Amino acid sequence: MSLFRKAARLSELRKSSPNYSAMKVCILTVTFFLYLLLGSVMFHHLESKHQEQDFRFVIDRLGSFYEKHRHCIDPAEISQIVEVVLLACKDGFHHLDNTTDILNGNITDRWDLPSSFFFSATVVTTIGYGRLSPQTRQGRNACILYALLGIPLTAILLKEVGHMFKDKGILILTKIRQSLMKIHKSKTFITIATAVVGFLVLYCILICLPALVFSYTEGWSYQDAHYFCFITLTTIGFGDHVVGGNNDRVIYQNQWSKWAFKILITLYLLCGLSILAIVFNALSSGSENKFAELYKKRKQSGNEDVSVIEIKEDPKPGMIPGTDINL
Amino acid sequence: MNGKTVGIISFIFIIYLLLGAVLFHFIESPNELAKMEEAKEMRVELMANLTDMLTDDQIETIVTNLLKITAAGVNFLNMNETSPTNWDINSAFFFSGTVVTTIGFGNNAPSTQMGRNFCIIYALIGIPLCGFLLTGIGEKLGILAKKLEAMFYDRVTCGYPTLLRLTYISILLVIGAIFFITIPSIIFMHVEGWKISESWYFCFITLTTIGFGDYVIGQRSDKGYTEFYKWACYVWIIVGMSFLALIISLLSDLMTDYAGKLREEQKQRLKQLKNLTGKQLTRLGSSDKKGIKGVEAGYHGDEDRVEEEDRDGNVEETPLDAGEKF
Repeated sequence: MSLFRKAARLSELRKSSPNYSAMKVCILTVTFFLYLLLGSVMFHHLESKHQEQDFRFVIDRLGSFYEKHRHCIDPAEISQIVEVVLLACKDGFHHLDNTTDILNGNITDRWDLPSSFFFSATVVTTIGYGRLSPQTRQGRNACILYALLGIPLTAILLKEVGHMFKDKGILILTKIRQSLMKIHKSKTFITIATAVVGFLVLYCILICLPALVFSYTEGWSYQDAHYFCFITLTTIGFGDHVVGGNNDRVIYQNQWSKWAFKILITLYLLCGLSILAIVFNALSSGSENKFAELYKKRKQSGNEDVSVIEIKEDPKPGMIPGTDINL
Repeated sequence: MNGKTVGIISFIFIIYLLLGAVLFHFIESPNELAKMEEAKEMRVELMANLTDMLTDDQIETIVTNLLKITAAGVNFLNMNETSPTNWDINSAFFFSGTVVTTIGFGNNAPSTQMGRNFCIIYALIGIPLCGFLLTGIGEKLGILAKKLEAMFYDRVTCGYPTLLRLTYISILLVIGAIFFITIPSIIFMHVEGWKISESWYFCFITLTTIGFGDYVIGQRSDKGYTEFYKWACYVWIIVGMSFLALIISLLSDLMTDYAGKLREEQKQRLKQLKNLTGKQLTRLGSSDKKGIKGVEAGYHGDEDRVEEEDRDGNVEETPLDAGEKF
C-alpha cells in the first residue's frame, strides 16, 4: 500500500486516541472564538448604520413634531406617551404586526388554544420565538417543567424517526452517488458532488418550497419567508418573523382554520427537524461502515507498528457522543 | 425501532402538545387579557388628557413609529448620545453567539436584507462548528459523568436497575442545577437587577437554547459590565449547554431502554406461549414455524435474526440487553 494511505490511516487512528481529543477541543475552541469574531465584525458592518438611521429617524420625527406643537404641548406629555408605549412593549405588544388593533381597542386573545398549542411546539423543539412568552410566575414555572419533559420526548421522537427512515435516506444518497458516477468517476468529485447535490435537494424541500407557501399565506415577500423558514428549522427562532403574527389575515379569523393552520405549521417544524435527523443518521451510519472497513483492512495487512487501539467512532457534528441525538 | 414504536411515540407527543396548549392557555390567557384591558384604559386616559392638543391620528402615528422602533430593538427609554447601539462590536459578537448556538434571543435581529442573507450563510457554517465544539466538551463531561456513575453504583445497589439509573440522573441534575443555574442566577440577580425567579428562568431558557428573549443579559446601558463578567457568561453558556444536552441524552436513553425492557418482557411472554403449543407446531411443518419466528423477529425490528432461536427458549443477546447491565 502507498505511503500516502499509510499516513492517512495513521492519522485516523491517532484521532481516536484520547490525548489527541484534548488538543482537538482546544483547537476547536480557538476556531470557534475566531469565527465569532468574524461574525461580530460582519454584523456590525452590515447593521450598525441602519440602526443608527432608525434611531435618528425617531429623534427627528419626534423633534419636528414637538417643534410644530410647542405652543400647546410640553415635553413631559410626549414623555408620557413614550412611557406608555414602552410599557406596552414590555408586555410584548410590539410583536403585533398590526397596531391599529390595539389602538382601536380590539382585544384578541394571544393565548387562545391554537396559539398555545403552537407555543408548546416552539418550546419542546427549542425554537422559542419569544413573541409569546409566559409573563406570569406560574406560567414560567410551568414552562420550565414542560420543557424538561418535553425536550427529551422530542429528542426521542426525532431519534426514532431518524432510525426508521435511515435506510431510505442511505438509499437516496446512494442513488445520487450512482447517477453522479455516470458523469465522472473520480472519487473526490463523487464525494463532493454527492454532498452538494444532497444539500441542495434538501434545502429546496425544507426551505425553498415551504417559503413559497408561507409567502402566500402570510403575505410576506419571498425573501422574508425564506429567512423565516431557515431561522425556524435551525431552531434559532429570533421571533422577528413568525407565522400567525398577523391576526388580520383571513385564515386566522375563523377558529377552525386557525387551528388547522397552527397544526400544519407544527407539522412543518416536526417534519423538517425529522428529515434533518434522518440525514444525520444516514451520514453517521455511513461513517460507521468506513471505520469498520478501516479496522478490517488494518488487520488484514498485518500492520504491527500500531498498537491495538479501539477505533472509536468519531461523533458526527452536532451529535451527542454515544447516542444518535442531534444537538 | 419500527413503525409501531414511532406511532406510539408520535401519539404521546401529540397528546403532550395538546396538554401544553390547555395548560398555557389557562395560565397565561387571563393575565394577558387583563393587561390588554389595562392598556385600553390607559389609552382612554391618555386621549382624555391630550385630546385638545393632539389628534387621534397624530397619537397613532407616534405610537406606531415607536412600536416599530422598539420592535427593531432600539431601547428607547435609555437613549442618549452615549448609550451603546445594538450593533457595536461587543453586541454583534454576542449576537453571533446566539446564532451559532441556535439560542436566538431575537432582541437583536438583522433588519437589513443583506444582514439576513449573511446571517443564513453564517449559520450554515457556524452551527455545525458549534456542534463540533459542544460534542468535544460533551465528551469530556460524559467521561466525568461515567466515572461518577461507577462510583455511584459501587455504593448503592437496588433491585430495579431503571430506578437506579433514574436516581443517578436526578443526582447529576441537582449537581448541575447548582453549578449551572443556581450560582449563575445569583450572579445575574446582582448584576442585572433581576429577581431570583427571573434569573432562574433566564438560565433555563437560555441553556436549553429555547431563548425567548424576554430576558437577555448585558442589555442595561446604565450598568457597567466588566470584561470578566462578559467572558464568564460566554463560558457558562457553552459549558452549560453541553451539560444540559448530556442530561437530556441520558434521560432519553433511559426512556428508550425502559421501553426496550418492556418489549423484552412482552417477547418472553410470547415465547412461553409458543412453547406451550410447540409440539403441535412440529406436526404442521416448517413454513408455519417460520411464521412464528417472523413474528418474534418483528419484536427485534430486524428480520435477519430469525435463525438465532434456541430450542429451550433462551434469551439471545440483543442490543437491548446492554442497557440492563447496570
